[in-house]
Amino acid sequence: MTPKLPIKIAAHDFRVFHGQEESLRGITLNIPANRILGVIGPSGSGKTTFLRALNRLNDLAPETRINGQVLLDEQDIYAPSFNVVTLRKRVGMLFALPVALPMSIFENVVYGPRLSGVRNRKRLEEIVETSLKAAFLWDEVKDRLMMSGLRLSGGQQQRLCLARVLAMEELEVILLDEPCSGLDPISTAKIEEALTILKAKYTIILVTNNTKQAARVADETAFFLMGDLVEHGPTEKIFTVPDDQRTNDYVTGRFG
Amino acid sequence: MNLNGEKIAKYALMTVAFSAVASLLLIAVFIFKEGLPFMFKVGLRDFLFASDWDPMAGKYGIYPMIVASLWVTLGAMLIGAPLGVAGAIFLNEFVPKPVMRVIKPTIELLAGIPSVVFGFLGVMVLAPWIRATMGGPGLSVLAASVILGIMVLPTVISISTDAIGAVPNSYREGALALGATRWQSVYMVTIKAARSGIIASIILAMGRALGETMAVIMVAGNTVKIPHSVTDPVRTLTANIALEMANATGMAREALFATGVVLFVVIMILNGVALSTIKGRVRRK
Repeated sequence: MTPKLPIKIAAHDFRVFHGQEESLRGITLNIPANRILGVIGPSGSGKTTFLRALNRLNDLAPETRINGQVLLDEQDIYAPSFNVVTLRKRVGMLFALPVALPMSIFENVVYGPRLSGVRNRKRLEEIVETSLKAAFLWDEVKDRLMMSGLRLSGGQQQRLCLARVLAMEELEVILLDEPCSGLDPISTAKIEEALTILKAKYTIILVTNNTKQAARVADETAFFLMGDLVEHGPTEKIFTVPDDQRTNDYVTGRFG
Repeated sequence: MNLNGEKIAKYALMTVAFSAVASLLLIAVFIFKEGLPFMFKVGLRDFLFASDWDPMAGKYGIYPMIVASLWVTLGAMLIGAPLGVAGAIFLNEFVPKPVMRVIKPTIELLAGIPSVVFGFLGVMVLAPWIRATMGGPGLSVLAASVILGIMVLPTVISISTDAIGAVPNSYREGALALGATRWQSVYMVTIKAARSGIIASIILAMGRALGETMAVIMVAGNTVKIPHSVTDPVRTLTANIALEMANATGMAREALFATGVVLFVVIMILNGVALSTIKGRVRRK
């Protein structure tokens, strides 16, 4: 088995309510650093809610309430003293639909650093090059960095979004919400390849509807169902000898 | 029977629709027919760029009125556009949805207040205040600008609010997820994405300010003179038509139609620009 790694994110009996409905029913989950955690489960199982809770995007919906704790490096991210803007700089997020902002490729990538106050042109250019390289997009766009990001293809836009997340200097955790659901196999392969390299530096949480993708890239896998965490363990165990019958049914494609 | 009913409904609606369009078209044709020959008789230079307006003496220079209209419209935009856009941003981004559902229709109701009421407020409250604090007659470019600036607020707010509301939520989330504060996401992403709609709202408001007549007559002072300060009284193009029409005959009457042509063309250009800005946004998507 893999050696014990430090815990990056820990959820303790974490609950999310949307109005009357309990979308997450007491999740307790330790996420180790420098690993890819795959989160699988049928739609409506709470995967995305869990992911969005980790950088507090759920805050934006007024009728959402939470209960329990999420610790990032042993600090409660929902504590009143915790700065949500700092949190989102440390915990970056990639959405299912690529959201290129309505500006040039260059400006898209340096958006985060600019917000943090980086002004030096030379420094910004370095950030753009390293981030785009890490997202496997550099070769395709290096000659047209001033073109609008909206004119890239879907797969390219998603990698642009990845580069934008990677450009943040404070980044420690990358959240991915079904990042490849609308992409072609080649773009998907490029993103998966980028992730396996990036885990040396970051903690990665990958929500996916594609169980094969979790099997390919995740070190650990968590299976969500109806707002419950059914099972969490090393990926090969979840996909071969899971403890729970429901996990077995899902990964073998019997439902979901 | 049923089929006949369909046919009748179709042709009835068609007739109504066509007559609406036709009447607009006829008005336009009539204005041009009455105004254009005059322009060529007097000469475009003596009409558009001469400063003497004295129909009795055969002088038809509307230059002071053109300048006045531009000043008043510009002033109204300086006041109305920032207030309106700021209001739209505030309503969309910082006010809870249920509150906005009350406030937005209320603001749109402002558009239903008759302009004579705005003008009356200007005469009774604003003009005396300007006279007391800044000198001059009170009835002035400034008074007209302020009143018009308030009058165009519903146009600016309502169209800008729609444009900002149409910005996909994913843009906001995308910016926030990168560690933007609420305000940073607004000015770096939302406003950029809604830019064309906001610009269109300002241009439409400009057309409205340029065409407004009653409130302007009441507060602008109506002196035919090129203004040298914001406290000077002025007469706009619209005010000129309304004030002179009662006793205009012959050439003077044609001069007023020609003034109408000038207004018509300017407002058409503004609306055309506004429409193409809005369309441009749709095409880019």
